Amino acid sequence: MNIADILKDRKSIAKAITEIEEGNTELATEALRGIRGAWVIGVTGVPGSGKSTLISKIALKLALEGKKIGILGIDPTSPFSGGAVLGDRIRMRELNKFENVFIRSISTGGKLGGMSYHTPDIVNVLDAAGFDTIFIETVGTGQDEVDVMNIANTVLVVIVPTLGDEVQVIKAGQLEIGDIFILNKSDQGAADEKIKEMTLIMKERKDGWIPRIVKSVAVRNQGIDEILRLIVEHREFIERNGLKKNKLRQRILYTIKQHALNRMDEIMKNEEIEVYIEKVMSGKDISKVIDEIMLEMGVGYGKRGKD
Amino acid sequence: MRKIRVLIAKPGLDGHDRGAKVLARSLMDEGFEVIYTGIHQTAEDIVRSAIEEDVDVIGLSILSGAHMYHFRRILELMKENGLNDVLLIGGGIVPEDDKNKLIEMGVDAIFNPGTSIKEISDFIRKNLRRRV
Repeated sequence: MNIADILKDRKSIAKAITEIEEGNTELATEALRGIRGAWVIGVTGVPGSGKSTLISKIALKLALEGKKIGILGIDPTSPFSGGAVLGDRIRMRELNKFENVFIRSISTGGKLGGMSYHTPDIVNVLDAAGFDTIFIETVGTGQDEVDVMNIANTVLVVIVPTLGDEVQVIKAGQLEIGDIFILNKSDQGAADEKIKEMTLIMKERKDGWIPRIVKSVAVRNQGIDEILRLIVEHREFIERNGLKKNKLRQRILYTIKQHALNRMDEIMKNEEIEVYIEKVMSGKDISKVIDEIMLEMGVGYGKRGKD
Repeated sequence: MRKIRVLIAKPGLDGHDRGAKVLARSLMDEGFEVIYTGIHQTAEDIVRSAIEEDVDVIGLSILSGAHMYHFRRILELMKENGLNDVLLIGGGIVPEDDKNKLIEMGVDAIFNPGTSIKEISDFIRKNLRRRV
């Protein structure tokens, strides 16, 4: 199977994504093997902070330069019905006129962390299809959703002026993962105060990068050029220091891990798992029962590819 | 098992989207994945979104009276792009005569005001052209 032949146009890319979400692991594997090295930009932040609008404005400039842009917008799945309202496209209408842009909306499927199990697969599909830059818009997040750092080359964390004080800023979690912080809606609230608070954490990272912060008002197109400049600066930093291949390896490993977790999750949803209650309650060690569950129920999941 | 994916859009200049939003939310409650694309969509916008999102259903909300024009154009584009397995449904203020004409043209169903959510979701589940 040559993945590039399969992903020949808009429709076939869209169909491939659906197939992977349905559990076609052969296609997921080929997408991994077909990776060409797109620059992946993760965009995360609280609901309503302006992630979709920012992506639309940034992507518009790149699209005008002729770059091939892929965008994945993730929204939450209802814990009650299993359905979802996926609304990230609303803010991206101006991208519809570009042949070189592809947008797909994804539901989390109830998975925590800010993305769905198949998000890395879908990034790989777009990468294999030859997109230069891929944006991942996570669900609106809070403090603890940091998964996107495992598949993004550059992480943008979108914040707004009105939330919390310095103590929120120094806590662990999402504010640790931003390569670039965007203070959007900076025409509202005490924006300069927020910038001052944020400087507390603008310290050199393990890889040597010093995070930056930039003010924007996405709806008025303010700050977009500066964001683009910082993305380029971060990319050059990563490439200059030979870190790109680490990031790619991390994405591949994360893809495999998500398949493992997905399979585990599917097993746990199986009603037949109830039969193991008695084994534990009659005194068999939980850990040994789990070994048994994996052996007995772990096979036959999904549509398996060839060996 | 994947969820049934439904695109909800408002074509043209009609900006009254309360109904479309209520429908989007209600279909979510019925377990569908609803891609809501908002108001002022061109037929090209809608069909392109339907292709990229690989939806099972396109649902249009039209209150402006321009339903004959919009449905005709979208049916044309769906045919051009080979979306034969996608249901096309609509809701809004559509007179009975026009409704019959639209069904003849190839629209799968038109739901007038007062239709229950259950009626719409049952119709979708029963008439799906793709395996889920």
